[in-house]
Amino acid sequence: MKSETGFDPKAYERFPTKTPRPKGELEQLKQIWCAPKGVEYLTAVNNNYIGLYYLGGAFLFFVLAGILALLIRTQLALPLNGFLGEETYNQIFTMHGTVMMFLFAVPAVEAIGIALLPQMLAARDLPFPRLSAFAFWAYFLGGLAFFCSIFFGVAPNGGWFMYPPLTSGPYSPGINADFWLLGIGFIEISAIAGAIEIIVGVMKTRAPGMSLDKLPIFAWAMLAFAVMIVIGFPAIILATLLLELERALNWPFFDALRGGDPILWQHLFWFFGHPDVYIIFLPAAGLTSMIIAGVARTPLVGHNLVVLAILATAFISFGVWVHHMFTTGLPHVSTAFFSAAGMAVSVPAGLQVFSWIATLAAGKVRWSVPAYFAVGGLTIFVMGGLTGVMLALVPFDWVVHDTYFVVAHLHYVLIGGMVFPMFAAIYFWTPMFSRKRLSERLGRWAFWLMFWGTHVTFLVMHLTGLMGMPRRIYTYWAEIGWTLPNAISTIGAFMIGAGVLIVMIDLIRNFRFDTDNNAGNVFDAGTLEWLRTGLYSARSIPVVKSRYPLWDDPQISEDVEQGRYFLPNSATGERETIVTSPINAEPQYLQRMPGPSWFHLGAAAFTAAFFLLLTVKLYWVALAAGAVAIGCMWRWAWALDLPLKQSHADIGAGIIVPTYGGGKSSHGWWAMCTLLIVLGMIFVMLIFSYIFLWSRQPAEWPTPPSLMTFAFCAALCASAMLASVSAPRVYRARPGLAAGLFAFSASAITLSWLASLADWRAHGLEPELGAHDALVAMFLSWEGVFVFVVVLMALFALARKAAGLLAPERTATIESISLFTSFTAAQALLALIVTRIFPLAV
Amino acid sequence: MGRWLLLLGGLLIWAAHFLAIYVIASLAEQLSGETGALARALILATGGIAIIAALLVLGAARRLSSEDALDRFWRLIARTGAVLAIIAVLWQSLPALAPI
Repeated sequence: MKSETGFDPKAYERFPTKTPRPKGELEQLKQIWCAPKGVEYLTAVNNNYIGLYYLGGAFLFFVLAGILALLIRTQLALPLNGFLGEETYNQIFTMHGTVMMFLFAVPAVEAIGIALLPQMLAARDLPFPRLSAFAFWAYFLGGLAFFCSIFFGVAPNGGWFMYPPLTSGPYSPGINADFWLLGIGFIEISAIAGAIEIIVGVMKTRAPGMSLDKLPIFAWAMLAFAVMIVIGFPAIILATLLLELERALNWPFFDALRGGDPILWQHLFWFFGHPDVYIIFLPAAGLTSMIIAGVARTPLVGHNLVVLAILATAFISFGVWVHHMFTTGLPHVSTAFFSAAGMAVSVPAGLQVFSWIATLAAGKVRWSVPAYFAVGGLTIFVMGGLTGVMLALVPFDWVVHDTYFVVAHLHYVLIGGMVFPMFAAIYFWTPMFSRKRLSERLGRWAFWLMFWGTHVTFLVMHLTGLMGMPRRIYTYWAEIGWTLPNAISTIGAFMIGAGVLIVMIDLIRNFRFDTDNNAGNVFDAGTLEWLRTGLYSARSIPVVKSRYPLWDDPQISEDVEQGRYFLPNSATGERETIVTSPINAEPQYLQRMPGPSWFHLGAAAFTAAFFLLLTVKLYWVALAAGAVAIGCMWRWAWALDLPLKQSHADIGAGIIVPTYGGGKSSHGWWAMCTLLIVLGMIFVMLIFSYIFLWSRQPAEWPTPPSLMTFAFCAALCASAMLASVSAPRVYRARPGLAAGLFAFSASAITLSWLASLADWRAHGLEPELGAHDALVAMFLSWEGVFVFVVVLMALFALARKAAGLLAPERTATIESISLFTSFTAAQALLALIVTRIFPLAV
Repeated sequence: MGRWLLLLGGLLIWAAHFLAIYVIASLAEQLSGETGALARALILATGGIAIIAALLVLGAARRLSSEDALDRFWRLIARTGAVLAIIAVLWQSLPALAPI
């Protein structure tokens, strides 16, 4: 194997080491990674705790949304039923969909990733534990507050995809829609924070030797999941921003009378919404692949092709968004392209299904509860996939659009593709976190109830749809003939509810969190998470030589536990993990990891408060909450990148690595680049919105201001970019000068923004009057937020300089600020070109 | 970067092709109210370019060693991805052949 970093792979032959480890080493490790006590549970950052909290939170929302589903089914069980009023019904079905999609499905798979990935990759923890904790608390606190809106009758009521004009100000005048638009805001932030953590974790903190060909399928799936969030979520972030601005400030992005277009919302929403189905499905498919290999006790058949299938699904899913818009009157040829893509996406999904069937056939399956849930989920998913191909056929979609046929299809796909694999995962991996495994007897009862409940509920629902029942109506006449299928669906829904209740009883009876004395590898699976672990993950980090190390090296568990591999101790006396190269996983440096803290918790709580207070229009209190959130983040960042106690450390068998990483190999650089991709995607979506709305009424697009200001602003942006790009280069020689360059960049960007703002105002910019001016105001507002952050960053750099915390050997802070500032300048330049040159060019 | 481009080459080509034909069809609709003969010819030409690019990825992947497990993995994903892209591009181009 060619080295990626200059590391000699022959060094791996030194492991497992032969000499006994010094006494007290394990105790020190346990003490550094000790369990929290009392109130410390709130400040914990370890993945075992955060993963469990996250899973608990997601499961809670699953149960709450499930109860809402039972209310919906009770209402529809009989014709002209008065169980729920129409407005309450609207709120309940909207919350059911919203909570399931945003507060359960995406967070649940993120939670499983945070809980399992460090052990699966044999890292001590994921690289940004506080970011994971921040993501969890923002999601959980905000999610609870969001859910409580239903008890006050102000929950969203426009359906989970919130189409305008129904959700625009004139037709939804209350704050219900604002709860959705702003409530989803912090969930998006949380999902993106988790995605950054997972991307950097999978790429940079794998066990040495775990090259990409040996990466477990679940890690591949989580990598694809996180990248898809980074690409897909920005569209919904922008969409919610635009609609909230339209509602709050009367900027008409979606108002056709003033140059907007409600179809723009559908494009933005479904560019996120359709991939979101695969964002949810892919990790669950990864879990299924791991579980089926585990219960069949044989390697996954066609591992490499399954990796390709995951990658192909991730790509193709972004070409299917118009799949949901066939009835909007798009050009026929365009519709045909999306129809073709809709059918094509079933090919990689089918490939995975065949791989699972082949693995089951090739191995000796133990029919335990995880196997039941995995195979049951597979069956249900295949049925949902087949109706998905039917819906990709445009004429068929025209007929059944917005009927219960679609509701049946999406529930088959999501229950088979995500819910069953999640329950399989709960039963499969619980022994890793609990003293006792869950009950086989109760698990089988739960499975059969849920399996048949799903078919009883949703199989008949296809028929209800074909009989013409539209989705989202709160009642119907008996004469229409929908009574019997609706009554059957309601019985099925309660069967599913009974199954979930049994799982809850099983968890209460048998789940006892314990990482040190867990039930262990009860399924004899072959991957690294089944090594004996503590809160520090594995005692030592093994050299990975195959995809199933525990099957291929029976001695590995003992050697790992005796500390005969990498990092058998704490080399620096702090929490730490090995950062490895992205392809070959060669050791690069030792990352010092942060411990518990109140600041990420404060940042999360006040971020959630900021969004929720905006919803109830307490603007000044919201601003105060936002300021406190920023203060917490500042303090959080201040504690990073501090002076080193030692520059290098022995990570085992005499292999010495630095205790600090800078430049493109560092985890911080990767995280900042990922964040910038998210921000860049939002900006790309904004440009798409601009061009889309121009294309609707090109004659109405006004002439931009003169090019004099354009030239002035462009020169300022270019000089800011030059200064910020140069900063890391001059930093090694003169650290203080770098802070000065950032101050210059921030000033230039601010001046450019102010000049642009003044120019547009002088040109008569009136965002309320038309979509063009609203979009220009949106560009300026978006840029204004970046100007604010860049100024904060420059102040941060100056404060670090004043505190003597800038040192040439530690470059991470400066590199991150440089990346962000350069990005801001480039984005401002592009915004100038789009808003001033594009209208002239066309 | 080159290694990643090779691994994901086929899928990137498919994505670029999809974006291109969507833009062509949308622009044609905007300018002339229909996806006429010229737009359809452009769509087919784009498909041809995409297939040539995918063939180049196939050729580049052949250069990876068959000795090393990681290279074999890389080669399999790159080549199968390129073949998949060729099929997908042909499939996506078919609507352009439908009667106007």
